[in-house]
Amino acid sequence: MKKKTFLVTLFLFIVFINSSMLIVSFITLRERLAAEREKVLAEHYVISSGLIKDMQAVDNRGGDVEASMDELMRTYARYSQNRDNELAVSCDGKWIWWAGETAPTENPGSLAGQANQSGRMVFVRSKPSWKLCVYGRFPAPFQAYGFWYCTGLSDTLKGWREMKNMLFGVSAAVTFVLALFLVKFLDILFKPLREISVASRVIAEGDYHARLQVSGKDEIAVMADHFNRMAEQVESHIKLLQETADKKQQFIDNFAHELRTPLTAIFGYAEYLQKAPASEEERLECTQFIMSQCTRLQNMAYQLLDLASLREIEMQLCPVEELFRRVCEIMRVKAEKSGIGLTYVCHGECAAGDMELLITVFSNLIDNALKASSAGSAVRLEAKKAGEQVMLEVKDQGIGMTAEQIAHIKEAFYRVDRSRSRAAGGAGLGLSICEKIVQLHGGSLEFISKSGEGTTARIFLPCEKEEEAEFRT
Amino acid sequence: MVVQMAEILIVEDEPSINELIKKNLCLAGHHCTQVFDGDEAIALSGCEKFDLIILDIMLPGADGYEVLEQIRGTPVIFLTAKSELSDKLRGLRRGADDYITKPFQMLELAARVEALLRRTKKTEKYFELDHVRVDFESRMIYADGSPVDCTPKEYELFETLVKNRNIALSREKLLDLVWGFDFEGGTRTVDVHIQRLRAKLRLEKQIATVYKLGYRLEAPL
Repeated sequence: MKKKTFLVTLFLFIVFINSSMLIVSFITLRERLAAEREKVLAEHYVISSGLIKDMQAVDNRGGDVEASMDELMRTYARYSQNRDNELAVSCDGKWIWWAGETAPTENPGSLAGQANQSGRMVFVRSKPSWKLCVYGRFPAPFQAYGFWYCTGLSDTLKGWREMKNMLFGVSAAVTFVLALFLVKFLDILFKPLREISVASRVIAEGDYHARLQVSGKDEIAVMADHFNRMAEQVESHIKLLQETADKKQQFIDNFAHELRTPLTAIFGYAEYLQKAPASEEERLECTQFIMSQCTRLQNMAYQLLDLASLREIEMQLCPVEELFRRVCEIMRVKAEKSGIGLTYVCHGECAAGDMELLITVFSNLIDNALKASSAGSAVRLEAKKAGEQVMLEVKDQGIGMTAEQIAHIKEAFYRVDRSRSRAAGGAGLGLSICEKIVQLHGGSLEFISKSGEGTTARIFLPCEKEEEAEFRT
Repeated sequence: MVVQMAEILIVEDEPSINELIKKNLCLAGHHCTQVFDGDEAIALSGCEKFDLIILDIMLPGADGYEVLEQIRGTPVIFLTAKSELSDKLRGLRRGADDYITKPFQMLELAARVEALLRRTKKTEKYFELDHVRVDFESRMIYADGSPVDCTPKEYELFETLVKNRNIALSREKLLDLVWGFDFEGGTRTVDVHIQRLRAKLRLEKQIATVYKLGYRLEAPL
């Protein structure tokens, strides 16, 4: 591309500069020739008019004009001495006098025929050397006579050639300078393209951070800008894919680890029962461990199944009042057992969603709240309108969580307090399921907590307008 | 009576696994202390002397690697669900002496503990059970103080039973451990040798037959 631009530009320039030089030199040549012609004509005129006067004088004296021609022309012979001029006089189609060795090769008769009204003709003779020749008939009474005057053009042509050579020399020098300049200029012009090429190669090699520096507002800058946007898109997509893959891998790793612990216990106790001399009491203890670990595996299987089978939900009208009442009915026994008060407040809000799934979500959240709280504290459910959405809160006064714990809390198999939660039969999937359900509703789930100051779980759900709800029912 | 007894600290947050390890180690006559998190392990190892620590990596509080750094000097066996080579290497490079992955088998745990104790602790050179005494160095068995004349295979069989006492060993396992993989004979060989040992050592009750499984040397814990 750069090479092509360079060659084409240089070619066009060479054609242009040389043709202009050619035109200039030809114009100069023409002007020089015209000037020479004027000069030759003037000299021809001076000589012929002088000659005519002399011839008249000879004629008046009654002498022979033709015989005294040598005499008459002597005065003008000085013209023939330099610039290899030719002088000749003709009479009745024959040369009667000439300067130098030989008469002109042209026939004076045919020359007289070609002459114009003023009786003169001018032409350029190329052989044996370049000469500008003038032939003129004399006026009456000497119309039989004619005068031939030739002047060499070699000086003029030599001067012109020198000038022409100089012009082409200059054009070559200018062309060379331009070529250098062009290389430099194209280098600058193609720099952004080179950068784009480098950046795209870097990206092609897998480094998606590469960007171009955008400056100015020309086509290249626009292209660079688009290129950067493309790179950004690619990078963000790759990142997203990477994150999804990482999450999946994390899930599988956690799952494998989560399976290993109950399996180790079950296998170990079974082996112990088989091989060790166990007492009746020990036998009971071992089977108890095996059974509880089996229950744990079973819970995990059910919850995983729940998580996997959550695909679509049927959105219905869910009065928050009814939701809270039913959840509290389910959780009351557990709350009372731990000595924790469970209350709810709502003002007739209505959410859109699947009642049974929402009950699952709140049971899980309340269960977590109860686990974090100590006897005597309270867990409180509250509903508020938040613009287009309904905000549902589960608030406890328990031990709270650190920022780091909140960051991980929705991950599958993550537990804030591992041993206690496991002992209680939890698989660490509760909040993963909650989050998935809330996401299916088009809502969001967030936690606000500080270590030691209790936790608030907030769910935002799409709002169902009261009037519409009434109209539907 | 058991003489190869060691003080072992078990650090594992999962109660069922912790208890399982304790039960297994007690079979070999070791004395176990159980803790359930890293901080407690560091505190306890500071004030008591243990011969061996069995340490889980993922622990509440300080994790296994931190505990390892705090308790230099005591042999440590890492016990973890992480089975990747990089995890093993990391644990061993940080100074663990051995590595067991979950799920583990009783014999594996017993063998690794015994091997590590043999390397690090001056283990006793003999074992006594009622009137029988085994000298591991001279490979002699004494009954009531007088040497019992037995073949090398009989001695090896008894030593295997002693080292895995209170654990039932199948006939196949015994064949494998005593005679080796390439032994041509059947499991009847084991039965014959057990009968001879019982008669020679007068340990009919202690070398118990476990129904449909194999044999077990029962020693009081």
